[in-house]
Amino acid sequence: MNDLDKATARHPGRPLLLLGVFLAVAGPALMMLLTFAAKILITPWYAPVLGTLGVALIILALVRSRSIWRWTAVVIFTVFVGFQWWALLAMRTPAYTGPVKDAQPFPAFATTLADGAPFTQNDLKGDQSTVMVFFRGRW
Amino acid sequence: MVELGQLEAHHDEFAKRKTRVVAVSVDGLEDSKKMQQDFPHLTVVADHYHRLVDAVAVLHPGAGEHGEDVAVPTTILVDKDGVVRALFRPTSVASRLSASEVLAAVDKMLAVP
Repeated sequence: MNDLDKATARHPGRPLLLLGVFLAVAGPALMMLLTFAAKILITPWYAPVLGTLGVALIILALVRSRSIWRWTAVVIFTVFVGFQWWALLAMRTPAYTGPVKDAQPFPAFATTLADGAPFTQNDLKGDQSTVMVFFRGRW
Repeated sequence: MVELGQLEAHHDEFAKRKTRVVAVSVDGLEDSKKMQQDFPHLTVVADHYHRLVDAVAVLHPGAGEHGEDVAVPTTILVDKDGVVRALFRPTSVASRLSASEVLAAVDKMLAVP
């Protein structure tokens, strides 16, 4: 029996535990990587899915060998992944029910540009088309 | 500001299509001014009084990080006559159209015959 076999015999399920913890934290790390490094802005559904798989593996590890540390890991990562699911659902945007309609004139408004110049719906007419972006937060 | 950064980086592609990008900020005036400096090829609207977001009905009251009012992420294409040609809203506040997707939409919805 080599050292790895001996370690596995002493701590059954440890690889499952480690893989589970890795998956549970991989989702948020992947989201940061995609958003801020790759600049890909998609719904991070993969984070709680990976986390749920990770928690399942941690539970399997707990079934193989029960210890206070594994119970603690189950509780901590279940809460962690639960928060990810909650955040994903909380990120849902409401359906649009406002006055903007295809093939209709843009609604009347009067506001200002950052330099203080007035800006109204009439400024949307001219020699350029407009992409109007209502952005939010750090995204 | 990944979204605005991508749009700024593709400003020459929008210019080729005779299209400008207007970014509507509901933050304070000073933040809007700084944003205009950071993204000089975009047109930044300082809509801290919510005149535009109210007219378009895209305000999400209390949904900000600290309970402040924020805009629901929304992208609207308007043609040269001031007529709306498309409205896009992601299903999640974390999701956005990429600059390439916006350009594809411009080609499709705002193409001059």
